[in-house]
Amino acid sequence: MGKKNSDGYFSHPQIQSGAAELTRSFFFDSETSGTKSMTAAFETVTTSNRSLGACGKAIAGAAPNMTKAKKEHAVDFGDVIGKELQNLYDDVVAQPVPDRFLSLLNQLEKNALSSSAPLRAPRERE
Amino acid sequence: MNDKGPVSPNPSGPKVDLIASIPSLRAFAVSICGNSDRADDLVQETLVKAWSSLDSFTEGTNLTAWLFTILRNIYYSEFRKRRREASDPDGEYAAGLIAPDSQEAHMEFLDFREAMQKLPLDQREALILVGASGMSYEDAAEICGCAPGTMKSRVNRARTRLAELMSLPSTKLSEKRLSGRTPPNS
Repeated sequence: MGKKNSDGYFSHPQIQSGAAELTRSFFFDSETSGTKSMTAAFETVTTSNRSLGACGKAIAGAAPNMTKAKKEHAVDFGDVIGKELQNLYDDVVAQPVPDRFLSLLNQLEKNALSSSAPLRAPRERE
Repeated sequence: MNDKGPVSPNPSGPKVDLIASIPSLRAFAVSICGNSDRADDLVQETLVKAWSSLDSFTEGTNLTAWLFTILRNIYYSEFRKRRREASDPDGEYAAGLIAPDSQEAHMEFLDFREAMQKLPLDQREALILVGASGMSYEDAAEICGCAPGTMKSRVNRARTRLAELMSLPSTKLSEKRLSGRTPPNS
């Protein structure tokens, strides 16, 4: 299930970036760790075009798998430095998202909905 | 009253995509600044800035790479500011050096995390982006605003320098590493 992609799956722009990442990791990898989350994402995407929130949730839920799968085509130095690098990075990736960020994003979203003004004025872009 | 969960009437809310990127963002931040509290402050600033700049994000491109670029810009402006304030033109202080556990450990060789923090920032981020985050040389180069060839040479220099700092010979890396953290007097 979900092994063969067809163009229709990713037709909605909103999910494209997440889905593209999933696709990339899925097709380049061993097809084990990504499969379950891919399937979930496919189902959400195909059965519910309208409910993008839920779709995003499926993608968000798939994030740990996605990251893990992505690793497979990171440059592998194949030595102790490569391993230490991966450990350093993966230790943090594996941690749950701290509440402060969830509250922050909820707040940002709420502000955006109640007025079109952002929480803070954007600083000059670099 | 419960504002948790995607109850937003705006179906294209970017919140979920941003949440999905937070683990990578935190890992990148910790890796370049070497301090988890500071890293989370960086992530927070990045999210706020990203939210207010969402119109400049192109749908369908790599969101994580875009966020990394923002985080990196924030970090670099702080880095430059701190360097000025500390009158530390070489950036050694501002590079956030972590004190070695003991003099002996320092004299012998450094632990990986310590050694990472000794690297020049451009080399450190190159290593992390390419060797851990899963970015291609091309994506990493774009994030850092340099050519892919430059990225490759940064990675190579970083690897050489790390091996020196950790006293790793170019071969038998694992054996050397395994004996790396034994107390000096044992």
